[in-house]
Amino acid sequence: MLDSPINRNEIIKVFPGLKNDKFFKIEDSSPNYNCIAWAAHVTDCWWDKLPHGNRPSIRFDGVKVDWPFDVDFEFSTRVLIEIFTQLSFVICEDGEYEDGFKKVVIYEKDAEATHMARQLTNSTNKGIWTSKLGGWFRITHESPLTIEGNAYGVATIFMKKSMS
Amino acid sequence: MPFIIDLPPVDYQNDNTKIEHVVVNGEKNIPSVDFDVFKIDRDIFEDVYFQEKFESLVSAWKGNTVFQSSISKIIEDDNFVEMLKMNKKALLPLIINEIEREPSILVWALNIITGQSVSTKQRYTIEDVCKRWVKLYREQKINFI
Repeated sequence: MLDSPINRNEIIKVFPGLKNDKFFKIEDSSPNYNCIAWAAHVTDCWWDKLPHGNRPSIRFDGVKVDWPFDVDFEFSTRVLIEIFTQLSFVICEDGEYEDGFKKVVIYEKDAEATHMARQLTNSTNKGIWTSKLGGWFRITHESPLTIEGNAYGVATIFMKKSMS
Repeated sequence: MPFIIDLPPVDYQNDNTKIEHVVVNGEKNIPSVDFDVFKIDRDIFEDVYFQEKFESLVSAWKGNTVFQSSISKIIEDDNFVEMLKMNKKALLPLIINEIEREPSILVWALNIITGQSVSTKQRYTIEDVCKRWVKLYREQKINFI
């Protein structure tokens, strides 16, 4: 079972803040996409650059090789902001739910981008957050804060996009 | 009501151990040795060694990187790099068996080892490419560089 106590405990070991998160739920275990793709509603490939030095001699299967748009070839907060700006997001103050907007957040650890999460806007899950944990599980969580810690560092940049 | 079994004490008689010395009278009496048996034993030992080393490295790699979204961080993990250094002939079937059991991004190790990709113009998912790699391996269509 996907949302089993065993799986939940495995995740809580990495993200202890989820222990008391009443919206923590495991939704998917597909290896097909990563957090950045999921923040952009993509579920059939990984969004990443290829490691320097290996490009283009090794092409990884199941990966969207180049960044989605004509942005710099690096996995950084600056570039993630640029990608999501091209997807019509703008930087905003925080992760509070705002009617008519969808929000994403970028995490940083040791000044490096590590993760992205997205706020849900449908009627049943309005305001809670969803994260794809690398090639591992996809989860929901109450706020960006509950997955902060050693793995992803802290939520630093919030962006929003009008749904109208 | 519990059912208790009382076993009789074991009667060890170490002093009764008998040691036999075989006296060989000339080479003709030396029993023949089937060296193939040793070879099979060695092959089994190597298989078990590679299997255990592989499982240990993959487990440690997953522990370190399972939540990572950066491919660089995932494939530059020490355990992943160490795994890629294993004997490729032994490593290939181990990876194939693992991605057949559970499709995963471990498939990228095959891209690195073989220098090949099974993706075509059509975009495949990780699960799709795992199935394709397994099929190609079973059909003996995978070549090393």
